[in-house]
Parts: sequence; C-alpha cells; structure tokens
Amino acid sequence: MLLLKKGNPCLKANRDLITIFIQSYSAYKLMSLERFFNPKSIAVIGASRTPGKIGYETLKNTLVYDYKGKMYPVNPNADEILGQKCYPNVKAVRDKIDLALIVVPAEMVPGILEECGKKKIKNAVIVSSGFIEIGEKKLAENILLIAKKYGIRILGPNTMGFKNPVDGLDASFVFGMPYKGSISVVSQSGALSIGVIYHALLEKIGLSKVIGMGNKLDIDDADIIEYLEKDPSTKVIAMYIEDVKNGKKFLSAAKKCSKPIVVIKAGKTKAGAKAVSSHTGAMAGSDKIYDGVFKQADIIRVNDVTELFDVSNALANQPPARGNRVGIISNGGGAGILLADACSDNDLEVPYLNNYTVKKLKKILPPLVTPGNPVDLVADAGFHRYEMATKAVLEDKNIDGVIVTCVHGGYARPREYTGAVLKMVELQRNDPKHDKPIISCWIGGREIEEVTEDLKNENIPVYQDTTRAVNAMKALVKEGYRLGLHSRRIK
Amino acid sequence: MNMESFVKSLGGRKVLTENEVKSLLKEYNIPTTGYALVKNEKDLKKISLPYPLVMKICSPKYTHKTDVGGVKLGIKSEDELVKVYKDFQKKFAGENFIIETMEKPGVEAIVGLVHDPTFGLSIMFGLGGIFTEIFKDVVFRVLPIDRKDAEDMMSEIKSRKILGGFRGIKVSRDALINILLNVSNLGVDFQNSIKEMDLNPVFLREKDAVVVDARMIIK
Repeated sequence: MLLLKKGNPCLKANRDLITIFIQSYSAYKLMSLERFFNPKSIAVIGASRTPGKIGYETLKNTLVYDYKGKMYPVNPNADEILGQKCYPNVKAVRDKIDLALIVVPAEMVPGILEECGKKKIKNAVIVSSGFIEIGEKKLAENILLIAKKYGIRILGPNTMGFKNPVDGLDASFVFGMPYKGSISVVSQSGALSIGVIYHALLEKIGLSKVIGMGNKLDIDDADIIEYLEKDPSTKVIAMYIEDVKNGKKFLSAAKKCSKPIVVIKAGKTKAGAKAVSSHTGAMAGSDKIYDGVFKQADIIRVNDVTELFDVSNALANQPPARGNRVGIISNGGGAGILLADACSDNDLEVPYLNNYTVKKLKKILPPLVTPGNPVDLVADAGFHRYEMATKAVLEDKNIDGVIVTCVHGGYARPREYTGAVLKMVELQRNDPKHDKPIISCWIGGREIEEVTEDLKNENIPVYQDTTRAVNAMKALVKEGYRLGLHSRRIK
Repeated sequence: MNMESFVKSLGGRKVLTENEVKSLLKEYNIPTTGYALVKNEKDLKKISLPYPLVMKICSPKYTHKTDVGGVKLGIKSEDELVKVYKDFQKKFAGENFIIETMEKPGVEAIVGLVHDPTFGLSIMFGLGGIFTEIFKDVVFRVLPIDRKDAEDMMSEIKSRKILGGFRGIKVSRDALINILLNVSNLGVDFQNSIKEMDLNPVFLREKDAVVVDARMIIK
C-alpha cells in the first residue's frame, strides 16, 4: 500500500504491464470468438462415412454452402469421405486449424481435446452429448480443465453447433441454411433453433448467426452477447434461454450491450420450490427475478418464437421510435379500430393529427370523409391515397411511427398498397426527415400473403394480424427509450 | 458496518430479532419506528417513547408475531403498559419484548431482499396486504439499484396509481425512493450473508415513510 501511495515507478510499470496484459488478454478472448464463428479452416473430428450419422451430416453441411475456408475430415479408418481427403488425427494436418467440430462419443472427447490443444487449436464445438445433462459431471470438469490448460474456447457440449449464413458456413449437424440478414439467434435448445431456422426461411427473415449454446460449459450467454455486440453483421440479438449460468455476468454484459436484445425465457411456472420463511422469499420464484433482470437491462421479453421474430424483425429493419404516438392508416374501419385498441392496451397513444396533416388528407379523400386517426382511406382507396396519406402522417409532428394496414375487402387493391409502402420505406431509409418507423399489417389469407412477398423481399416488416403489428411498434418505442431518444417508458 | 463481526456476534443464530434489524436499518438511514427493548419490568420505567405505544414479542422463535398473539397495539398509558407486559410475560415466559411508537398509518408497502441462486441478492418492492398476497403485485431488481431502477420499480407495479395521488391518497415518492436506495446499499454490504429480509409493512405517508416491522434471516 505504502509503495503504491508513493508512486513507486517500478510498481507503476508493473501495473501498466498488468493492465496491458489484461487488455490484450480480453482482446484475445474476443478475437478468438470472432475467429470461432468465422474460421478459416475447420477439422471435423469424428467425420463418418455413414449417411444419417451425425459425423457424416456435420461434414456434409460444412460442404454444401459457399463456405470458402479449408476443411479437414478426421477419421482414422477412412481415406476419403464425400470426396474429401481424410486424416487419422489433427496432428496429421499440416496447416493451422481454426476450429474443431468434435462429434465423437463423450468418453473420447478428453483425448481428442488434448490432441487439439497440442495442435494449437483454440476453438472447439463439442457436439457430443453425454455430459452434465445425464449427470456426467466428472467428464465435463475434466474437459474444462484441458480447455483451460491449452486456452481452448468451447461451445457446448451437447449442441447442434452453429450456422453463419453471412459467411456461408454451416458448422452444425442439422440441415438448412437461413437467408443472410442481421438477426443473430442464440438458443439453449438445439431443436428449437432448428424450428427457428425454418420459421425464418418461411417468413423470409434473414439471420446473421444461429448459435446452439448446449450445456454452456465454457462459452456462456454473456460471452455470446459480448461477441455479437462487436459482430458487424449483427443488429439484433434474439435469445432462447432456459437458465442463465452466471447471473451477474449476464446482467452486466446485457446492460453494456449497445444492440437490442430480445429474449424468450422458458420455465416460467417452475417457481422456486425452496423452503422460504419471508414474504419476499415466497414472492420471489425465479421467474419474477428474471423479469426484473430483463427490465433492469432493457431486454425485451417475448413469449414465443413468432413474437421473437416479429419483434426482432422490426428492430433489425426499422428505425427506433422517438416517442409513443402512433398514426394508423387503413382501408376499412375495423382493422383501424382494432389497431387503435391494441395500441392503447400497450401504452401507445393514437393522438389527433395536426391541422396541417388534416388539410393534406382532405385533398385526397372523398368529400364526405373526415380525416381522423386512424385514417380511414375507405374501400375504394388506391396507390395514390395510400402513398399520400402515409407520407402526410409520417410528416406529422404529433406522430412518432405509422402502422399501415390493408384488409382484403371487395374493392381492395393490396398490391397497390404494398407499392405505396415500398415507396415510403425507400423515402424513410434515404431521407432523415422521414426517419420514423413504418409497420405493415396485411390481413386476408393466401392472396394477401402473396402480395406481402414484395415487402418481405425488401426486409420490410409485415404482420398478418393487428396485435402482432402493434407489438412490433411497441418494441421500436422501447428501443427508442433504451437509446435515450425519448423518456416514455413502456411496460 | 462490518458484517463478519456482526454475524459472528449472533453465534450461529440465523433469525435476527426485530430490534437487531431495526438497529441495522438505522445505520443505513432507513427510517423506522422509535423502539426500546425490554428484558425485565425495570426496563419499562426507562422508556421515553411518546404514547400511544405498541408491544411485541421479540424473539427469534416467533417470526409470525400476530399469529401467536404477540402484538398489542394502542397502549395509551404507563399503567396499561405494565398490565400488557405482565400479560405477555405469562404467555411468553423468559422472552424479551419490544416497545415501539404507534405510527400514523399510510399506504402499506413491502420492501424486501432475497438471495437468488443465479443473480445473487435481489430487492423486491410491492404494496402490502392483499396486493402482495393475492395479486402478487411485486417487482424485483438485482442489487445494486440506482435511482432510475427505483423509479421504474414504482411505476412497474400494477397498483402504481396508488403511489400517484389516486383519490387524494398522498405518498412521498422521494421518501420511498430513499428507502429503496438505502436498502440496496445495506444489501450490497451484506450480500454474502443475507438470505431474506422483509420490511413489512412500510407506511408510505404524505411527507415521509417509516418501516413498522422488519425481519431478517441470514444464510
């Protein structure tokens, strides 16, 4: 202490060295995760010749997309699999290996990991199961020790692996590649993440990474948040969580994260079954505390996969709102009223439009129609009315975001309306004056579905029902609050 | 405050008595009722608290004081105090009692701490009585919290209107915020020791707030 107070130069130099060491170590750790999910060379250890086996499917998946890195199947009993030269072990590979995909039986993993360590492989996905999830704690601890010894980062075990559509890399044993996009999905459940991939494909929502977390033996949720925050192709982090491993680390990483995080937290009803003797203890249960943690870190909590994508898609592809005042445009009374109701249920205001906007709207509406909010463009509306009305409401000083809806009424011309939305989003994306969220709500079965493809192709969020559209707008209002653009806190 | 020595002084006991918790609250500027511990009849003479008073059983054995008839409200005179004391002595032989000022009522709130296995010590806030027990209208935050967290907690409960002047009910929001922040400070210092703490009820009044009853269990 005394030495420190006197500013001993030796000690100061030492401290500086330590600081530099810590900084470079954390930088190295982050860098290593960057290389982890975008490796230049991969060894598939346990590659199999038998179709259907995980070791075969994993190798196949790494080969079918446009991944540009090098691939080294490892199997001591094969010369060649899927046209790729096989190696008996990683030592036999002369080049540097960035990532090991380990698909051997659990009891073989420690030996394989030792070999990886000696080969200076710093990143490993352990697909193999048979660890903590079935009570094999010793084996897991052993693996962690080996990983620490060689400085290897581990994803899993018991994981599907990961997919990186942006770089065309599928490092998982499950078939299917999402479109390229800016949402990264992190899932504790492998099966659910597969469902998620196909959902995203159907909805034409692009993804940046899909990461199966498995048992989180080494890389945990906080590590992934820190990595994705630095990942230039990720705009939104969408997570499925069953339990967080290190609560304080998670909270701190989430609070620091500059990108929006959306979470499904499963296990709501599994209340803390421990003996409690206070009111506070009886109220706690784990879910209430998770709820508090999510609010503390401005994480948006959602209930299911549809909602996860509805919200993430809006956050990834529309600007945050500067307030909670919504303008609604429709071609028929019903949908407009439903949207207004859903807004008021969700702390969103549907205010009067200003006089200037009303004047502009009167010019485009039939003589007997009074413009209000929702703006009813009536049944015979076409491209022009949708375009002019959306523009006028977007420019209204009392409005922070616009929901454009179309119902498939007898006279409706839905393709003209999507055309108007396309034009308005182009304006929004190129002109800071129109930088307010536009959310589309298109109701009416298969024909409408076809029309909305035009919007989906341009990454414009479109929803098939009113509550979903309002939920998306609410997320953008929350994001505006998180970023300090306004002070209206929404539940 | 040094928690280690405090816990040591308990000699392995896990449940703190009300006077122990309240002395701790005082250290952290959390307002409580006036109180005095009574170990024998002579102690009654020394009491300088203003009437009306309240007498409660004060023992780690009885955490639910009302259920065992261990609370007497509205004691108006010294004669009555002595009478109640003798009565309590018969019922709870060999125990200590705590005499407290009888506080003017306000909106009843609950503020608590609980150790969560994943996130560590967390703070809870809610309105008392049926709001807690039936509607479970409470919110949590992981420690430490800042002023914004405290304000968010107050606006997050469903019955928040009661804190905002509903039908002329007036509550000092600042007094409540100060309690939440000071409980957070206390919790941070004691985060490795506290298992659960209840401040229940806390009376929220127009100009101030006061902790009426308190209990704490350590790990």
